[in-house]
Amino acid sequence: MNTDFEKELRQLTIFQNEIKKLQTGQIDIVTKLNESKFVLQELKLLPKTAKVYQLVGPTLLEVTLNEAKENVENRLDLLGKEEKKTLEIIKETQQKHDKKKNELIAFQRKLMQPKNVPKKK
Amino acid sequence: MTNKSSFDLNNLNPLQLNSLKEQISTEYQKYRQSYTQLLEIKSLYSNTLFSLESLQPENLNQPILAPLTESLYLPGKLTNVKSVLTDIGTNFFVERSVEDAQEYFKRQTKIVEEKAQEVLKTMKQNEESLKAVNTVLERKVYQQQRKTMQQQQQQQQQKVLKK
Repeated sequence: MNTDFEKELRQLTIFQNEIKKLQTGQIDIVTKLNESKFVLQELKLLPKTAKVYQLVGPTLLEVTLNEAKENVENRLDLLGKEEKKTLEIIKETQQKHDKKKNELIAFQRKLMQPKNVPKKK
Repeated sequence: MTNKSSFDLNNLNPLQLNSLKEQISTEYQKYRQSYTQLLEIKSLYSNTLFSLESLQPENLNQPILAPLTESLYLPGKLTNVKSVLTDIGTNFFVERSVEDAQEYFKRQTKIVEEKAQEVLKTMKQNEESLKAVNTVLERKVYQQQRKTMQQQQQQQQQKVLKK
């Protein structure tokens, strides 16, 4: 009985670690999202005559203002979708984790019961 | 991440209060880190503003040392005192006039300052909740100690009576 319990407990900790990893990934995505929002805001404030350059590897290329805006908007879209996906995965893993926890608690109660029987006099 | 629901601290036992205390402390550390980062960014901006001041039209054709690597500089002449490239993030740069760039950095400094003030406010709230948790924790520990002492005294009295 004990080894089964240990196996389930290990599963629980695996879930917990997964959730932690996903959450740190989520924080990364959110920071990138905020940075891109900020860049888009800046680009929108520029007059149409402004020159915009993009750093591609070691080269600085001139891009039109509209190209730059499109670029950043696409990036925002992708990041938004990624964020939603990770949120869903986190929710799912959290549900699995909670279910496993309840199973463990019920399991523990079952283990405790046979010990109570001999104490009844 | 943390549920700051207004539950009564008195309903928690010392163990729970302790873990809550740790939670608040780690949060506080994170806030402090963000605050120092924001201050660093602010000083970076003020340095940039300072360097921009030397890009005046009277400095045209002044000799300068342009860095090639960290330890290698190239002597040259300042030929452009009108426009600069400002990094706006995610590998995008915008060419602006010196005045526009100065305005941009002043705007940025203001934004960073506001954010820093917000973080400072949250830090203060955090400090207060930490204090509250600490007071309740101390009281409970004291109550528990008194209880165990009283129980011990009662047990001793019972032993004396039995004799």
